[in-house]
Amino acid sequence: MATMRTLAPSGRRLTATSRVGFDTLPDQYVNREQQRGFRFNIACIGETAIGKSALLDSLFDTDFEQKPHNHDEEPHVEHSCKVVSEGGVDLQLTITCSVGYGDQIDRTDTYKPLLDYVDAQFEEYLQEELKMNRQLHSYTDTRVHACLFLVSPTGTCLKSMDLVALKKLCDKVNVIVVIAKADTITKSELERFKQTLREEFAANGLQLFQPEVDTNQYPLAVVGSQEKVVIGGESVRVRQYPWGIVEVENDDHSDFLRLRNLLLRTHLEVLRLSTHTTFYERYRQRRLVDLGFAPSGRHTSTSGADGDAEDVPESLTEVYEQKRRQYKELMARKEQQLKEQFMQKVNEKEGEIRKIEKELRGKRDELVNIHRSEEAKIKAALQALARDRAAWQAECEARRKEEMSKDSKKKDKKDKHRHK
Amino acid sequence: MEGGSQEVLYAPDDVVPAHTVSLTASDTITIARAFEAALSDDDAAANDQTLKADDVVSLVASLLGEPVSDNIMEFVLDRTEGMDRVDFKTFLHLFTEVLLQTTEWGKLKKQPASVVGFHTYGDQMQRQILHEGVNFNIILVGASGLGKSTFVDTLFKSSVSWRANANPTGFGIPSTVQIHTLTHVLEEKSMRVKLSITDTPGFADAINNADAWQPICDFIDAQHSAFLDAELAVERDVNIPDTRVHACIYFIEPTGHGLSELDMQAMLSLQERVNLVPVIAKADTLTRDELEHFKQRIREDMTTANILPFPQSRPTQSESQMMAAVRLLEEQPFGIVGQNFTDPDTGVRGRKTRFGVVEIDNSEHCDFSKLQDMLIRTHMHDLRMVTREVHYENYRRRNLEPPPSQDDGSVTDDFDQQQPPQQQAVVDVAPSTTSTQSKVPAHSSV
Repeated sequence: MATMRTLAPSGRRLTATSRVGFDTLPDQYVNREQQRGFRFNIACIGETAIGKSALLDSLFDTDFEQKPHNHDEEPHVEHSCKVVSEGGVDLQLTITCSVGYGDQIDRTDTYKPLLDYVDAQFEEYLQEELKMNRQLHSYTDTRVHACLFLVSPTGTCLKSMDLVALKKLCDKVNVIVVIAKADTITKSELERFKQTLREEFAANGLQLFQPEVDTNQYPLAVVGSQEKVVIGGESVRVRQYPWGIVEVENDDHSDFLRLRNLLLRTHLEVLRLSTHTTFYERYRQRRLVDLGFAPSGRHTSTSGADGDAEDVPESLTEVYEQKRRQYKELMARKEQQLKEQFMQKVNEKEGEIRKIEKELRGKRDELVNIHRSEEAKIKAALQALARDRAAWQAECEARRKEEMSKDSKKKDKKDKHRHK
Repeated sequence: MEGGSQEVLYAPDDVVPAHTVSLTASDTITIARAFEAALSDDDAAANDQTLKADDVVSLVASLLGEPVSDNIMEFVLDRTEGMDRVDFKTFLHLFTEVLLQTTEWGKLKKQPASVVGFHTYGDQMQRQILHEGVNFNIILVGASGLGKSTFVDTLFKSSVSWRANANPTGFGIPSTVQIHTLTHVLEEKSMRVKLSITDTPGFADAINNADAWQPICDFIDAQHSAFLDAELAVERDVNIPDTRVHACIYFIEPTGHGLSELDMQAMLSLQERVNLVPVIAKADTLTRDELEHFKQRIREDMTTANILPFPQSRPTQSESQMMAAVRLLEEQPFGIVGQNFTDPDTGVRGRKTRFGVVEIDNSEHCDFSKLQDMLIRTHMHDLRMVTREVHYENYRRRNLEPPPSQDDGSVTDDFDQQQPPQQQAVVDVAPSTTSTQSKVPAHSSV
């Protein structure tokens, strides 16, 4: 086993005598990554018409042209890709919005489409990581980096369906809870509402993304708008009411700027990294344990008390080997089966052929016998014929002789007469 | 899901379909306008509103903005291969697929109306790196006496080599190849680099040098293997300590005649596992013409033997990177000189001989500054990246893929082949001030 190199306990920090030059490494790194393209995946969940599209448009100060939805849609997610560009930095955004959240009468699984979506992206990444020929460096990372959870400003407490959804989502993704439509709630109500929410989160043990030290400002209360109005020579995003104007990007009116800075200016990379290091690792561990790996990875469970031959595999290499073994055994068994079948067929055929052979032989013997008997008959007939012929010839001979003797007698008699 | 090695092992139950680019109305209008503009150029197309397949690439280029990367071009050409003419719908479909693969969206990019703040993304990434620090591991391979330790001390401007930190009683030339690793942390402008320098005394010093590079290759493989094991664990560290060797600096003797057989064999074995940077040691023993001629010979030898030093041009690089790589390759291998002297008045580092002073940092005198630039200032990230993405992935693939089956109908396993050769790396972390007894354990090979 290769030993890892470690620094001596004193550490060894050296100082170079003059500039070596690896302070350029961060620049090299950023240049490379920029060539590959920056990607950020943001999800947005909240009730219908709570202001998800408006919030996203305001956050990036562009028009993403997302379709508005009404209340009779099945809960599902809609995602789309856009590229926003600023100061030479192109960011490819994938915006995933949950549609139909909280619209049903039975709201038990209303958050599920988004949760499944998040899981599916982790699963895809895991599949890519487990492949033999993987292309991790050029893989389009689709894992959700941040999830904006829009809470409706009831002013009193968190809705129970929101609480259930939050519990599930906090485990899987960086959740940023925001209070939507903050312009409908007064300052004092807002303070109390935030306090209640914080207590509820603490009571339920929810891990939300709250990086700033001053936690009294969370959750952030935001306003979004898709309308712009010219004020003082500038085009400003506002919400216009008969009694006044709410400016989206005004720090006094809402926490919107704080949210935007948090999300984009300071913690973009942090969100991305924590998705990879915390949430993805959590997903990966759970998934691998589900698939049958020992969680510690150090000891295989040899406690096969019931004589079980299957040990829990230690690591992925073992699983590969085990699967390969199983596959080979399966193939060998199949081969054996095929061989047996083949032999069986061969034997059958052989038996049949032998039978036929026997029959044929029998037939042949029969024919031979018939032939012989016929031959014998013919011979006998021939012999009889020969005998008859001989007899007839003898008879002819005898008759001729008789004739001849009769003739000679007659001749003698004639001669006698003559001579007298 | 058994089967070929390309197959995924575990089938997902229910995967939501991949990302789509939903084009907004204004985007579609932009694309349609561009399409019509392209149509109007081509007269024959005006009748049936289709565009010639060849013009699709130029249309894509005009929409995305020059220059279009090679991947995108290949992708588009692939897709339009069988087609003769392309109508708007097909083009739209093709274009959305193209958009998914790149962030260069040209005219379709959205500009926020005011400063939103993500232009600081580069800075945020840098902050992360500065916070974490990086590992950089190099291995020095070459016969003893070629100035490896002096070189590395000169490169990092501090005593990082094992000779500088070792017991002054000295060691002589070992008879077998040994592997000595020293680890230091160097800090510069809040960028912390954990530097590991592995020296290989005893390489090419024996009488029979057959397989002298094997212990070195085993050492490199062992680092890959350790990382692979850590990566495959179920409960793994988020920051796996990265001891994989990022660069191998191979010292060539300045004979002036070209590469020796040992050099070629060693370099062939090494380049499959690690980024190879060949350098000509003690280049001050050669005159300028001799050096040029020698470099030429070496480059020819390497081309014939198919040895590719770093930086190799890879298909994922951009035009400018490939040009830079070609330029660098033309000057390789660098001829270097180690420092033994600093001019007290001017602070110039040099090598003082009877005949004069060879200035290290002067590019007329030797290529040291070019090598330093390549290793540290421009290509350090590339070295780490290529190790991570190419060499490590190759190692992983070789180790996870079942060997080609040699079944003759039997079910014999060949798992013994699966275990990568493990190696004992000797850790020598005795600081020069404390222990007087530094161990030189014999290195064992499996």
